[in-house]
Amino acid sequence: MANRFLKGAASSDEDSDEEDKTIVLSAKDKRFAEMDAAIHNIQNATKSATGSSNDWVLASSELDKLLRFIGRHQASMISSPIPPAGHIPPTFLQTLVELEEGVNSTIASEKAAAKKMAPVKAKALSGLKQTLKKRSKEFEGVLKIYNEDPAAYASAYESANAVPAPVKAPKKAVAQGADGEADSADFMTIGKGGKALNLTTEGVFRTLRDIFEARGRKNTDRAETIRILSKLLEVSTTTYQRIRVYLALIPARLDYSQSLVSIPHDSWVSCLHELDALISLLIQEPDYVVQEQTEEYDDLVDREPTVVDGKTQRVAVAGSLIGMLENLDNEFTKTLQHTDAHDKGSDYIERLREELPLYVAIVKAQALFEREALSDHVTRAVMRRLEHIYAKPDVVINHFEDAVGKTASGLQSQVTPFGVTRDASALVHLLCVFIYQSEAPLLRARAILAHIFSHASHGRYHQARDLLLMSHLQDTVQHADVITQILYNRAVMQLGLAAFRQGYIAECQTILAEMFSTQRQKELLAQSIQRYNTQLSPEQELVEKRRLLPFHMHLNIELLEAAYLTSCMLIEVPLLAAADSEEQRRRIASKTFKRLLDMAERQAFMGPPENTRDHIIKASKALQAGEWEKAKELILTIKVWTLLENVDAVRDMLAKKIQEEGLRTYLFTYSSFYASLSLSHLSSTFSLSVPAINSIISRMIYSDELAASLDPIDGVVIFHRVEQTEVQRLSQQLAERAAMLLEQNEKTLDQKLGSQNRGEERGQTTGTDGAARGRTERRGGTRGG
Amino acid sequence: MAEYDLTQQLIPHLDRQLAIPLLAHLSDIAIFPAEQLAKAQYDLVKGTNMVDYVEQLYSQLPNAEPKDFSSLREAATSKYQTLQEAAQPVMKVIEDPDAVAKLRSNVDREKNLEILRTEYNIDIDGINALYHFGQYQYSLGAYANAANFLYHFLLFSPSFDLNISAHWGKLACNILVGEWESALTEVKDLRDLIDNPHGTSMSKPLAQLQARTWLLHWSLFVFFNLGEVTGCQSLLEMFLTPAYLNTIQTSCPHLLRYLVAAAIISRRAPKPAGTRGNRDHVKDLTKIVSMEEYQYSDPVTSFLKDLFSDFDFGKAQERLSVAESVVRQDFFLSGFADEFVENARWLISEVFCRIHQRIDISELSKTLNLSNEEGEKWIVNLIRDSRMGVDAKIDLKSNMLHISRHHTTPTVTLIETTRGLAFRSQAVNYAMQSTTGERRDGGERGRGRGRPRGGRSEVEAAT
Repeated sequence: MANRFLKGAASSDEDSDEEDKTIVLSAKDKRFAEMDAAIHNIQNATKSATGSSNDWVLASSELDKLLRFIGRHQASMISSPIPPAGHIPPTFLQTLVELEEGVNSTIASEKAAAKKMAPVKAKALSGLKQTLKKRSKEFEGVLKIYNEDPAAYASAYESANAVPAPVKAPKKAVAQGADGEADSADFMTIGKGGKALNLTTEGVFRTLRDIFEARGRKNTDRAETIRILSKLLEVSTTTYQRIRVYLALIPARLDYSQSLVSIPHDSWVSCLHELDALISLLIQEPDYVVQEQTEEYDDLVDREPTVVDGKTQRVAVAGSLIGMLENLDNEFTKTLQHTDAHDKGSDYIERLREELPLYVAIVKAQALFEREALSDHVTRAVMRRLEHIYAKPDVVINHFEDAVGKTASGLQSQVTPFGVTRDASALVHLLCVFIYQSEAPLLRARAILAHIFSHASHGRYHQARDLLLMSHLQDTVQHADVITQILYNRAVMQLGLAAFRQGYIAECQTILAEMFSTQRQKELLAQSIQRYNTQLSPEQELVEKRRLLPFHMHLNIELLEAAYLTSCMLIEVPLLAAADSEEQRRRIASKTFKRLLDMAERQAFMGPPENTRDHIIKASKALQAGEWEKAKELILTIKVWTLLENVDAVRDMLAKKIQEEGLRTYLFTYSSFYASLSLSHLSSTFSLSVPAINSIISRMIYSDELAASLDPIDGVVIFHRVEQTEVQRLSQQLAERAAMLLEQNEKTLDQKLGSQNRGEERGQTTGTDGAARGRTERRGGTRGG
Repeated sequence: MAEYDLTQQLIPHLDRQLAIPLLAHLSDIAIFPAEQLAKAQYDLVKGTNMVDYVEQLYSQLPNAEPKDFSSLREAATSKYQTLQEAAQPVMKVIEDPDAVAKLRSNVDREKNLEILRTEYNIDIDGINALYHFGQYQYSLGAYANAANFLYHFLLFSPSFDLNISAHWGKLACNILVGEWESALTEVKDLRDLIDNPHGTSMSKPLAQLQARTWLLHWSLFVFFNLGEVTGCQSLLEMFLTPAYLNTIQTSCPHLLRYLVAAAIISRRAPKPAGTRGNRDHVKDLTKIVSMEEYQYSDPVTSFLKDLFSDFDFGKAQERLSVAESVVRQDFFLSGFADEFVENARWLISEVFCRIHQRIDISELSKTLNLSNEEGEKWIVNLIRDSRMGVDAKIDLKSNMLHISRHHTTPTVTLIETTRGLAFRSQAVNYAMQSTTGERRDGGERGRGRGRPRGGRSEVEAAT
């Protein structure tokens, strides 16, 4: 039996052996701890001396664990140089022996006992017996030796394991205490042994190679790797060494999170510092360059720039700076995603604070890429930079830029020259324009959307709208990837809000209508995951969760809704008043708003308004009843408005619009009860000036909304409305239906006939249609993702 | 008035030579300091080869140092001669009536080239010499000759880019010589080339946008010289096509002035059959003007907005008097100032009458900038024009205009809705019968019809 183990030990190569052990050892310690625990459990469970706790179920499961462990232990021992005597720990054998005794005695006593055992226990017991029998056969030889003289076996085991013993002990210390000092002591020990890591300046490359080889293997301890690498960083002296170590350390840190949702914050921070240091190093040492593709080089030799023919040959090191930068940035988003901004506000803010150094690092990287003329990388870095600032208020951007200005002395940049003061919008403009010139269509689309968002959030509605229309994104966005769609939705929402702030109520309503026609604004903006679609598989949910925006990027849905519903109120209420029949009424109203209104109508009792929606609905009711002052008060007391930048201007605008629409609603609703109305009376009722009233009424008359005419001499408006009788109204409806039916028929016929002639017509029309570019879709609605 | 002058916005989109008349106009109306203008004129002309004109302008500069232009002139003359020599062989062919007859009998451009090459030993370079010579003549100011050369060049040249350039050149020549009819055809040709790029360099959106912007500007010369009715209507027709409207909104909103002015001027003109009513133009334009207000507005566009969006007659009237002086000083519109004012008044009074029931005539006259008596005459004319759709009577005693409107009774609306229902249903019926009967040969007929048409268009393209 023992020979089997011997074979592996004899053939193993010394070099690889060392390496294996250094990695395996720590795992081995863990296993030993496990084993001890299992043995302890078994002993507890079978303490037949007290007789009280014959827990055979537990004992059985623990034995399974133990056996599994010993199997693994053997496998690892095969390749180790420890003589076979040291393979099976005596404690294990002891347990086996004891357990067997216990089982036998229990079964014997069970037969004699009057009371039967619980069936579960009995089953476990017999199972245990079977396993023991089988297993003792496997370990027969060793057991025999052990049974003959347990003490002798134990001493043999000890002596066999004597060589690795000193290694084992400190390793345990590593597992317990993780501070730096303990580390250094440990590593020194290993160094003395001459077997494990070579943490000296000369051995940097060797160690690096070892780590690279171990990377990705199953049992690699990532934390350990990181520790070794940061140690290496301390001892490395030349620039080349440091670059190499950085290039290994940063990805190692980023790899750390595979099982976690995000890497720990402190780890992320040190990663950021290291990346920043690497970028600074590369900026300082123009003779070294990190490239994704390099020529083959021996990675065990230190390299320095050489001068050939008067030209300095630069040292190229394989690595992807932009990849690391992007990963780091993604990790930043992940940490924020998994920090609850409400419950752990201070944590969130603390993490958010790190955005500033991250931003600086991105800008530095951008400058570095520009120097290396890596246009693709510059674009990607600029995009990252843009993503960090496009949704931020100017104050924050200026703060960021100040920080950049302080650290980035001596840097050169074509895209965003340093040392020039510019305001935030100009910066966004510069960055976007740079990306527009790049080749990547995806980044271009995103840059446009970010630009639109920035314009809109600064209240430049027209620029934002023109940009959106000229980009033609609304035609193609439904084929775009999800992230772009989310960005599109955000930009559109912001555009709607900009329109509202500028007083373009109708535009605001059209822009926001599509977003609010569903109940899923939050999902469309990636501010929460889907709630309604319950068939979502866990993987999909995970993907969606990963897309969520961190809290500080969120748009305020309540504010958007308030803007949308208020615009709806201002537009729909007069229209509803103007509509004669219920059918007309149904045709015009925006569905969301109409539903809310109807719901309010059905309520028997309407309490004081509680939320924003209540405010607006109550205001709409008041407006319908002609009580514009009440409506105005209700709307102006909505609290969310305070979030807008120019609150007072918006409030004034809203007050004025409510007055005007109130007048229109009043005229539509009550004109049939008057033959004429004095303009001065209207003026005092709606506190609008007479010219303003004149202008509003004139517009209504001119556009045939109101059957009336003005008499400037008496200062009255005279209504000409002729009331229909019920019969007339119904017959008119019937006639309209008939006309509609006929139209439908004609259309159907056209389609049928058209299919024959269409081919020719199309050939003639496409020429001009296809060439039409620009803003044809001016009012062409928006589309959500 | 200087603040409303558009010359500075227009010039970047015009050719050097085309800008000369604009500046000359400015020096006529004298709203800018004379020295600045003289300097601008000199700077503009400096780049051309019209040495005499340059010299003359230079001498007008206030602090002009004597400068020798003779060397310039010599260089120009020698260049002229070399180019003329290069173009000589082609010219000979063209002046030869036999050759012309032979070439004309052929419709195919390729074949003509072939003939030129084999029989007269003229290759592409020879033809291109025509283009260069024409261009040089243009820069010398010999526009009629240039137009002639470019015309011949266009007959032979196969190169798209040069052809486009030659078209532009010819358009400019025609404009500067004053051949408005041929300029109009040239505008149409260019429009065709720009709108149907078919994979040429023009198919890039940006290039197309720029070409359209230029065409819009250049065509102003043509349209405003074609005469009141046809010119303004062709202008409206072209500028209001979606593609060109977008171009105006995107890159040159200042052209809205001309669009609005043209719409107002041609408002009462008899319309060619089958076109939309002008009221639609005015309505659309009001929308566009208020939409673009953030980037462009002037008295002319604001007038429209005051009247149709704010219905503020007092303000509209004030604006009209400002707009009048703007129009009078505008290079393109100055010839139409009277028509503009008259039609603007019509607009005001029409809207006024539509809205009001009783109108004090003196009030209306004031709004229209007319004396009381003139106002009365005006109103009588207005009433006579049946297009107002209202019945109006003048009450002379109280100096009042009473407008009564026919109100549609429910019965009338009902009849209106049901009118034609029976006829239309019958038409549908007939159409259905005829299709079911002719379904089988319908497809063939379609194909048969397609063939001769395709053939004809080929012929057209070749000639």
